[in-house]
Amino acid sequence: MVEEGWEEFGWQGLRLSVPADWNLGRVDGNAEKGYARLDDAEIVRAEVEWRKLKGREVSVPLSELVDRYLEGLKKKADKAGADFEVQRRARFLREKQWLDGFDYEVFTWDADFRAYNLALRFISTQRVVLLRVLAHRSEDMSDVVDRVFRSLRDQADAEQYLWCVYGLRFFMSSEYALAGHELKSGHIQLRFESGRKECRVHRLSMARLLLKGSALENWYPAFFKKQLRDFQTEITAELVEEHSGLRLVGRPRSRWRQLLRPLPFVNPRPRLFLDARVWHRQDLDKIGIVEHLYRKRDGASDLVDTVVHGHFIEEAEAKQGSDAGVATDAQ
Amino acid sequence: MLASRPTRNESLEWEKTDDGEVQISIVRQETWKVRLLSKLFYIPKKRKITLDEVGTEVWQMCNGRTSVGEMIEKLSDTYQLNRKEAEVSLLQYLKTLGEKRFIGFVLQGEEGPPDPGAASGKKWVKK
Repeated sequence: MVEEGWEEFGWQGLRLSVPADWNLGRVDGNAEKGYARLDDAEIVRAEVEWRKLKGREVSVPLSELVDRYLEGLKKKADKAGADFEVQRRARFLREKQWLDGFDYEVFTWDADFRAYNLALRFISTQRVVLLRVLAHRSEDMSDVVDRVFRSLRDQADAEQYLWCVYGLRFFMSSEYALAGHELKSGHIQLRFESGRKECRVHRLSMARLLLKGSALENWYPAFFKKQLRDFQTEITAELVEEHSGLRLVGRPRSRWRQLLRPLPFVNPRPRLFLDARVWHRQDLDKIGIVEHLYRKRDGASDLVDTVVHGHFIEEAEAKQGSDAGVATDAQ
Repeated sequence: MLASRPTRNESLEWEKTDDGEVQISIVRQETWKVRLLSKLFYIPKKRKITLDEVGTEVWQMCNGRTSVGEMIEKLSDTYQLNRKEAEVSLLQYLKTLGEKRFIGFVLQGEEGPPDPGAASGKKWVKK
């Protein structure tokens, strides 16, 4: 469970706890290499960079990777004519026992802001993570920094990853890699792929305004008309995690009908089956949607139910995490 | 930006409809180009833009006294939005209103205009 005033951030197998007002400002890359930035209302507060080491890099000590990183920063600062001070092996953490056994380095650098850095190599996944918390030079952030650093986990060898962004949280099978995301205000969509299978998770805010009094079973096919045009759908009203919702089963339309579509031979659409749950959380004024698309009739699995079960349900997180084999310490 | 206080263009006419939505009337500009075009095409002398529920709420907060930061707080509370979600969509919306010259921004330290229309929601026409 996350304490009040704090929230989790989970992306590409990494997870950490941050103050609730630190929100994702930018995200790039994939599981191998990427970057995420969390901002509060004023400034950039945290940056996470990760890279999977390959080949010869695996044998390079972490301190050498930090050297290279700091050299790059120094050059940039010199070019800009800015002051840049580095303190290696800095002592701002209260205690470092929890880091025993890790290959790590803690350091700070001062420029316009003070940056508290933790470079950590996760042995099992050979992922190097550089977590940086930024503070005004007059600010004492040691408690926050300590807590944020302690919370960093790499779930990359777990069966399920926690994905957590803008308050949307769910567990997704690690087989499924993030293939795309749209983080629009009011509509967050993450698209995962595993071979030819696809899973889409949506969260729509301001549900009351979207629904405008219409029932979910009328709203959903109209709102996603384009995405559902290749399916013969069967919609059943049912409770989803005790909230009013829908179960939707889609079969591909007949081949003859698809042939009548424009340019069917140039851009034939794959024949897919669909299993989806849609539900309305009135207490949060949000609509959750999980869609699983697969090629073979018997390709249905319990993926949708698993994702739905871990979706928004904070109380279930601890249990779900342990059930799923999410490492409490991914060392 | 977050400390600035959006204020409505005083020359615009607006009123609340029976549904509680704000309707802004835009009067056709009488420039020579518009006059010429209006001979060829139908251009109404006045057109009305109706704002939806959220737009109406934002419009009413554009009173020169509420800061952008306060608007974000209010929207995220009312619609249970994450702060960042509220911030991004509100800033985009204010930018659009600003580009159309429906609103301006009162900067920190400046005094905002009085707001006779906000409380009553009645038709408000500034001289």
